[in-house]
Amino acid sequence: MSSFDPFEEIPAASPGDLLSPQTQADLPVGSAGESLGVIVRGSLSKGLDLKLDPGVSLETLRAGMFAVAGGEMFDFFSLVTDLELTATNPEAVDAPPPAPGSLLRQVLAGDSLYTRAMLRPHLMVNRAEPDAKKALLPVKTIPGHFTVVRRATPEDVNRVFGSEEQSPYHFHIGEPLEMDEIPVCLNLEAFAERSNGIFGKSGTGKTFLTRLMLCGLVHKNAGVNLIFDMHGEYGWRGTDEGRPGGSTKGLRELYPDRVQVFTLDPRPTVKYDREIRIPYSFLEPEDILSLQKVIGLTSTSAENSYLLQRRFGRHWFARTLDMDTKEVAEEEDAHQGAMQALRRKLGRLQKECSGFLWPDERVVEDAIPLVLRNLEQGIHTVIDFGRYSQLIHYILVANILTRRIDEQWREKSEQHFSDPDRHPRPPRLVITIEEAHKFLEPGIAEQTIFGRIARELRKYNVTLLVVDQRPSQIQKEVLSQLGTKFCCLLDDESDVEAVLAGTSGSGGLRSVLASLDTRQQALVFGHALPMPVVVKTRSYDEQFWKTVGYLPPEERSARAREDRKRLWD
Amino acid sequence: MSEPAVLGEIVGSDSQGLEIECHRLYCAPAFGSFIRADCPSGISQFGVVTCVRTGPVDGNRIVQAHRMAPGELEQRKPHLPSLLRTTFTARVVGYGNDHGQVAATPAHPARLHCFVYAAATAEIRGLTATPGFLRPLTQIPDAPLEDLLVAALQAAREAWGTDEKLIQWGKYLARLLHRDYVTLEGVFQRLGQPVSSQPGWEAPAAFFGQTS
Repeated sequence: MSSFDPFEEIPAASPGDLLSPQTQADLPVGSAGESLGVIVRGSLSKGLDLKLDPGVSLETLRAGMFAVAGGEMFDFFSLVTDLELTATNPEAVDAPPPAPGSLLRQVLAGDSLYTRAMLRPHLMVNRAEPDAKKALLPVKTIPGHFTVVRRATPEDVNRVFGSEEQSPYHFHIGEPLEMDEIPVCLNLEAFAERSNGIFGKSGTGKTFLTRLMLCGLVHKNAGVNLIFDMHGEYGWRGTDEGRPGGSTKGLRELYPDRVQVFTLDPRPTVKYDREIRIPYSFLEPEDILSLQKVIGLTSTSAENSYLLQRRFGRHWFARTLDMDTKEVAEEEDAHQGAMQALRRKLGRLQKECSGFLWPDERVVEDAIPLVLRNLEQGIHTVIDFGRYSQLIHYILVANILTRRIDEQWREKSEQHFSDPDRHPRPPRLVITIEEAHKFLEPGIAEQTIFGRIARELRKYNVTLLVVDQRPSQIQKEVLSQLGTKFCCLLDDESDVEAVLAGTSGSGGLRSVLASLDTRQQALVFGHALPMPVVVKTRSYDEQFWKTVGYLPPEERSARAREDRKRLWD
Repeated sequence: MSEPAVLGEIVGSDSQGLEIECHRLYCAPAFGSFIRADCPSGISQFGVVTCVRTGPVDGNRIVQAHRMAPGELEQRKPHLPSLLRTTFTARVVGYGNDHGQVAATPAHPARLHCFVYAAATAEIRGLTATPGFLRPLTQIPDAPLEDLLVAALQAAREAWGTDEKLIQWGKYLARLLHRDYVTLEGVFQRLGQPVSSQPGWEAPAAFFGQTS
């Protein structure tokens, strides 16, 4: 025999394996970091196509989960947006092989019949950049053919979303899909900088999510909250069907020294700190305009309120209730029918709000300046509506209060801008409103204070936290101004469309949004996060309360005793 | 260790195929089995049997029916084996030596009159370590493709002793036969069934053993 050199042994591997430039680590199926497959095609505009390795169980993948494509220079952090069963040979699908486990099935699986996962890269991480913040870049390119894609690891999540230990404003909001116990953090400082939205159809956990975010804002001192609590969910107690007694702790109970509850409906069974009584003279035509749909006014009638304010001054509301419509209409050259309709509707408003909307002479203590003082001092304030939880009450009070805040914050901010040394900037204020579309729908949003806040009050340190189940009813311009959006499950196509309008890669996010669980899951994206993420939101329970600084009363008393002792010893 | 039995010698060759005449009438290797042609260069060529035939040595002769009962033919016409020969063709699927084998076309065709043997188990494993040996088998015109693949894969499977390789070969074959799913389906349905002990293609008669 000649010295024939043996041919190098070709590794025994499947064609799919031969494409993989990296060796798979010995990781259990479904674990973080496990290789999922390779990129086979893609584009910057449409996202990437991942061909799944034959050994990866399709059922361990979820729409919305994280995957990392390890390119030559960058790690591309992506979301799985869709999954598809596909075949290189359509005949194999038309004539399915016999029993599961048969030789033919094994032969076809993973190659002739395989699974594609569609990925949407949302963030590039420069591996050569030591500064974690500078390393995060917007996606401007895509990884090449056969780039290996793996499941994200806890380190990846940490690298992208930061951790509570790294920054005083990072707040743990939940865990990514299929990655329990790995916290996703949101930057509350960035969150409070802009108006934000929490959306989802009824029963998807909007209220819990809102409580979570409010607790975060209080705990991390990222802003001061004014909460219009329409359904009594945020003050002393809130509802939680999953807990014994069906109730849970409100902000006042969690932070007794930092939160106050003002009520429109003082009643012996519910705790509160102050009552709110609103004098007639606080009402302005703008309030009537925002209520025109609720009380059934035509726009002509509603606009007559400006005319009446000009005629009667700040007491226009009280005077209108008693005016002779014929005489006023003649003198003001207005339509008498419209004037009559306005008086009738204002009469209804006065009647329905008679519990808290009082003639000026009856109001002994004006609570609104107290609310404003609270907010200026950083005391979070919950406005409890009690039994006055109809839209008419809610919109009226929210409008009146917010307008006053707007005036004050504008004034103080202007003073600060002109002389920063003498006038401190007013604290960052976050106003939480539910059923927000009633304030922000097209035609109304331009005329109400809430539309103005969403559009332009960021520079005066006032932002909104909009909670709503019908985002499609909110004016587009307002929606586009929302910095960070939490989207729980939404069914209506127009709502999905509205929430994702203007978002990069919205096509992929649409399928992610549609696949959310009905509870405790939300797609979060926008200004306060480096990339969109689907989170299983944290549970609002004892463990959470403990992490956000709650002390049970007995522990609080014991600490106070210890502090007293230390002070005098 | 006894020398392996010679199956025959090469009577025709080119880069893709070998034609071998058996040293014993009716003693051809099984269709689809792996054979080795030992060449003087020291590099053996390996092939898969694609066709076996027996006919007259003289191409101008026509074989006729003798209408004799079984056993009578051998007694009354003992000269018959000297007029007949068994040949088979093999598709070259690789080459190699004691140190290793590769599934590829050799640089030069095998020389005529080289002896041919059944490939050893280790040699079959070396040749079939990668699925490249299947490609030439799918390119033979007029061959019963499904039967050939079943036989060759069965032979290779027996050499490895497991089905692990079979799946790997199957995945490669699925790509080669992407326009012929019916054949792929047939091959793997048949390979998936238990192997039955089939009778030999034709049992050689005792006294027909020598060609002359």
